[in-house]
Amino acid sequence: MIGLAVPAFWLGLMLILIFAVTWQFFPVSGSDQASSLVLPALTLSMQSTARLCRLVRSGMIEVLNADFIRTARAKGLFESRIVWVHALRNALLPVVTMAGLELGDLISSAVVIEAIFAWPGIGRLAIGAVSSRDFPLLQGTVLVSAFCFVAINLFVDWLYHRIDPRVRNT
Amino acid sequence: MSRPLLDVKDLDVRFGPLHAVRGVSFSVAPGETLGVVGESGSGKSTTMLAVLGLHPKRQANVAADRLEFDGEDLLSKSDGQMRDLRGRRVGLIFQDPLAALNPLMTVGKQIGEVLIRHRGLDKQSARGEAVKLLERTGVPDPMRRASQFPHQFSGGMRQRVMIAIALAGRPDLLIADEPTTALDVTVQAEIVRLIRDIQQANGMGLVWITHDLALMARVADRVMVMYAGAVVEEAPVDRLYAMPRHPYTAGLLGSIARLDQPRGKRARAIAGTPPAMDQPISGCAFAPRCPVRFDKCAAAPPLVSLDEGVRAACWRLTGEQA
Repeated sequence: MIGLAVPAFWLGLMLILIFAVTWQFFPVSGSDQASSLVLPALTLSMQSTARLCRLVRSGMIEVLNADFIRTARAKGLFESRIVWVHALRNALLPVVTMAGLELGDLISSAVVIEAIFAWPGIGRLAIGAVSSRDFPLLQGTVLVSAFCFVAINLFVDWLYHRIDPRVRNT
Repeated sequence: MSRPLLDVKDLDVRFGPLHAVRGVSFSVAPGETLGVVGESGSGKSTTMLAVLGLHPKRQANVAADRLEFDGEDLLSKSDGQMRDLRGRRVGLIFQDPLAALNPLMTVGKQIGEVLIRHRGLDKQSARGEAVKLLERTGVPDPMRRASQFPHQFSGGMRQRVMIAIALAGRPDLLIADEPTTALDVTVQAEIVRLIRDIQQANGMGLVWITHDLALMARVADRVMVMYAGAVVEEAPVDRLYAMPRHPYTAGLLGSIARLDQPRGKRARAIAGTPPAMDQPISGCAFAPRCPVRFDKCAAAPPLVSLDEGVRAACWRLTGEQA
């Protein structure tokens, strides 16, 4: 819930303040070492993580009441197998769909994060292109992000197909 | 009669204020079929799930004077011991085979799971054995079918898969909870025959829950009639149909629509509705709907033994007169 309520730009600044300025675990900004990925990635994913966690939780609660879970118990299976094998896979179906949309969102919300952490990314490039009226560059950034978006969705569909046999031959 | 396979005395199940099963006693002998009838919410399934410890401990409060399976006390068993028992010594078939099967797992795996868990087979031999079980339950082309998913099966075939799962542990007792309710009539007949054949072949005890009285007459040796969480009558099947003792049983039998009755004569329904289960019931639970009630019915009638294995709970049968 906290993850959902906190805006990304504020979270980013706070993370910098705590982990980069006070404790100096990670670099404040830039992209010159692997460890400079940590804070931006954390900031960027916080909202999606929170949303997906909630989805997994509600999915599990629903699935664990399903009839086939009762069957699994009637078979005398171990609780760990019931939860991880029977329930989790069924609960993941809506999560996969949602995760695909979230990944799309990440592309657009990356602009703010790039600005905070001074990360030379596609979002900043696009904004730069707008302000300097570099039309071909702007077209390029839009094309690349659109392509990423389509690729992600294609991947999600493929994943869905892998997980749920019911969509295979309909 | 030899020692009963399942012996239950005074079973009580409560879900918070809801008193779902009120002092139910019954037993099942090896090779015998006990039919359990009653309308929806009368506690048939709840009773059987309680026997197997399948109610979540946090929600359900299960108590009994005696709850023995093959001479072993089930109430004192740990969760782990109950897990070893379920699927291995007691098989369970549910009403709706589509909902009762995992949609994301091949049926071969769902059967094989039981074999791996209870009979210690490895994956490979479990698969072979699962195919054999499918063949035994009359699924055509079992090799190919084992690698298919539940949605690719018809209703009747799915129920055969459920039966294969229930049989995988070679159980001594099979509990069938309305196994044919969701199926159409011709398929129903096949499934009934299949379960009966298997029972005869390996001498399992069988508990058959249903609300189909016509079906019950064909499958059961003994019938237990439940109303509002309690047993109102128990009798050998032919005695029950020939001479129902309890007014509720008589009402149930009277409410069957029959083809051999004169046209225009309608099936008689029992007036009224069953009592709310979240309130204490004083006196006979059936009294408000009973056509022959009298002042004695304000007290709860005991379940008295009448002749030849017939038990019924009604003041009319104790020789009391108004």
